[in-house]
Amino acid sequence: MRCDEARDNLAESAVGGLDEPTRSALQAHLEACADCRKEHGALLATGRLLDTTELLRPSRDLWPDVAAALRGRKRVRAPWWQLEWIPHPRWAIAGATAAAAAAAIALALFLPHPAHAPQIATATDEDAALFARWNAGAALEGGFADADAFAVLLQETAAAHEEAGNS
Amino acid sequence: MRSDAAAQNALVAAARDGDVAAFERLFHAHHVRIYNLMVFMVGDRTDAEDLTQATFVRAWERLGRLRSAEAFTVWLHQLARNIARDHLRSRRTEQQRTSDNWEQGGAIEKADLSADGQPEAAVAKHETSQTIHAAVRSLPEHQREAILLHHFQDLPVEAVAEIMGVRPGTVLSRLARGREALRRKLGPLVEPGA
Repeated sequence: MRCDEARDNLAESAVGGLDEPTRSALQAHLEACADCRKEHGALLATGRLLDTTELLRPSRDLWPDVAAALRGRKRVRAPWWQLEWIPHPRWAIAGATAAAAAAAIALALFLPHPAHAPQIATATDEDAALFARWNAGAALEGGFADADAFAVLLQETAAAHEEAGNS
Repeated sequence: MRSDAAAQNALVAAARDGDVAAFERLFHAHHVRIYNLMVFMVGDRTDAEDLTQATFVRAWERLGRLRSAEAFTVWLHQLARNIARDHLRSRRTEQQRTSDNWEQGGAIEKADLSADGQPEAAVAKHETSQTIHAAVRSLPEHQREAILLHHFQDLPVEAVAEIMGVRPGTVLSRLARGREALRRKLGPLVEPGA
């Protein structure tokens, strides 16, 4: 590593922001270069100075005013979905979506299905009987059997025979 | 410290249930750091005191919305940061003040100066602190915030990233640029052998 490259990386090194290969290369350069080592030392010293700088203090006790302001102050009780605690909201949303999808699949799989499809009502008027007869005839000719149409046809045929017998 | 964290968590839980005494202990544990954040963000010590108080009043109101006691420190700093930013926005709409109130009351209290019984050393330390404070104040906002939260508030990079709403890598970059700028400004104070 040359000095100009090293200088570009000194501050990142001082804050612990270098990846391992760059850190190792910089370390090797610092062992050989006194100027860069001195500059690196100054950056580290800056960090130590910041860490040990005394904090400012308020000019007065701030608590009494805060305590007075708290009296009778309305507090927010949020419902669970508004809690300010989810550290990674994107994960939470992804989790909720996955849970909702799993619940939908479970409902589809385990909810009881209707035992039978709704029955077709037997035709009771003349038009329906005509349609059934036509449909039964077409089914016989085309080889397609409609069970309901057949049932209507047989029912009506039986009724017609009964009427003929009665008369 | 795990025991400190457990103690704070217990205080947060009690305060959430309405225990003002527990909240007072949280206030005393955090108010100086929040005050420093405010001072360096808004540049006015009187405003910083008011805003520190406002931060804790809002924290009391909203503590019921905080699920995790462990998140209290980061959450409190986020509240403070938002309050400071709102204040700065509203102040920008007013007539700009001709001078700020930074020096009011002195950077360090007199009681601090004589605490170790060595007035000369205390004065030198006081002057050094003032030099550092001025240098930090002169940084661009993003660098100043990162430096404040990491070095003055003792928060790890991950917590700073969460407070600032950026990635940890961005925080490291801002810390590095801020460190370079401060090294130039502080010059002799940080030369080897200083």
